[in-house]
Amino acid sequence: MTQGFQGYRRTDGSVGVRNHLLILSTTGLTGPAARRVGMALPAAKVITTPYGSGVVGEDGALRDRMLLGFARHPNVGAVLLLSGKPPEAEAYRDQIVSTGRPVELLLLDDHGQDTLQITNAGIRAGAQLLRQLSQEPRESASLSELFLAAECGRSDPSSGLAANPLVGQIADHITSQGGRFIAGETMEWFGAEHHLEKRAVSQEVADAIRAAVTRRMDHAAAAGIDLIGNNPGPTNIAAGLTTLEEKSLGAVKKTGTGPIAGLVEHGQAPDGPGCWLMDQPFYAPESLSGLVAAGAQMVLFTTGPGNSFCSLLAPTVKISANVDTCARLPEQIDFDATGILLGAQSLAEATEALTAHILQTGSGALTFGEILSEGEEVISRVGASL
Amino acid sequence: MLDKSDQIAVALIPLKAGQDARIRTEGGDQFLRIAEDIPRYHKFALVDLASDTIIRKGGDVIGRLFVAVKAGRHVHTQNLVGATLNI
Repeated sequence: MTQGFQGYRRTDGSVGVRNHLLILSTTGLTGPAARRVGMALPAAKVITTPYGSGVVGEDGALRDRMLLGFARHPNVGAVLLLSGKPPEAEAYRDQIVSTGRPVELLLLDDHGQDTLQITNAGIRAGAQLLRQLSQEPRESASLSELFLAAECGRSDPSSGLAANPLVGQIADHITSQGGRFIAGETMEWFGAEHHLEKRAVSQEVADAIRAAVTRRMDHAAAAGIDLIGNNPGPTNIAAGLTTLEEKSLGAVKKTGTGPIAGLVEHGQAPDGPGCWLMDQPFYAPESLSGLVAAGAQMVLFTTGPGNSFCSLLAPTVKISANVDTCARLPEQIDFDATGILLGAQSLAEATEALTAHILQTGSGALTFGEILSEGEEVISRVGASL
Repeated sequence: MLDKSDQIAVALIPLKAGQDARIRTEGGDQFLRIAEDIPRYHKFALVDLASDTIIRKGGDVIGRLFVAVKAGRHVHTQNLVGATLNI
């Protein structure tokens, strides 16, 4: 049986599982106006950053990568760009136009510095774009055109025993079909590096994985952070995870067992198929945003006691194998994986059910996070502003 | 019990002190008297363990005991710490 889904084909070759209008404000001054436009057009997705100017060096590169990653995301069909910074905004517009997406650029300078005028223009332009997007049909796409990200948040032992191995099965399946898979949260490779290193396609990739973990642990030590009681955090500990190694050994299971093609930076798109790692922060909001800026169309998010955070642009499928959680949070957990530990379902049966759920979601079925508007995207900072 | 090199098992249901728990192992089921309440998904010792024992779960090292733990007792932050992190 050919497994596939119905998606939106983009002229840049990517396939969207959603057809969002993105209202993107790239400067602090235009953020409130972007949110007002978003309130008038609730079908649109709004991303703002308060750090518009004076962001330099590594921070500037990270900001460009994240903002353009969101604007050119496969699930974004059109962009309404608001900015108070003309040369940069025009460069962004040109880079988005080059992917074939319609873009409307609204500059404060063209509207007399009047945020009410730019709100009015934004609502009108956004309404036109939404109408245009609604006329585009979904088309058949194959499993190999999926790029999935994995995340675990508020983990417990059921994550490492069942939910993460289940997601790992999906990782192996998708990549064996020519698709892409990515996971990050560098600190949660600590104690499990040996498993990741031996799967690396080259010594360079293996060395890069080890170096990334060392850098992250040194960064925590330099900041005077005692990881005991911090990671695993109080919620993890109450749920039964004792040490970071125990948490990591469970966490890396979500990457499956296949070769690791390479390591990318936070928000950086992998340049080929296969299973990739991203060197990035581990807390869910920053982590998810980096994985999605890299172009993942959908996120498989495992949790023990529950975690409400979702990506704004990529449908985020919440998966739990904890029986109490699935009973307690029926409007948060999209996929119940409790059967694996209860002995009611084999891992292979759960994998088949989750694959069907992913394809259904890819074709338009909504996650609870989308229904409840839990989504957000965060642009990380690493240094000081001007 | 996840791997034959493990000295601990994971409670798939909440366990009560005094109860005989059925432990699934590769060689078949075994029974162990539980010494204190073990919440669901938490770990407990399968045998008497000395302080400084390196603890494995699923065959992988998850930490080192800093006090001795008797069979059937809860293995958690009160007796187990990361093996590679400084304390």
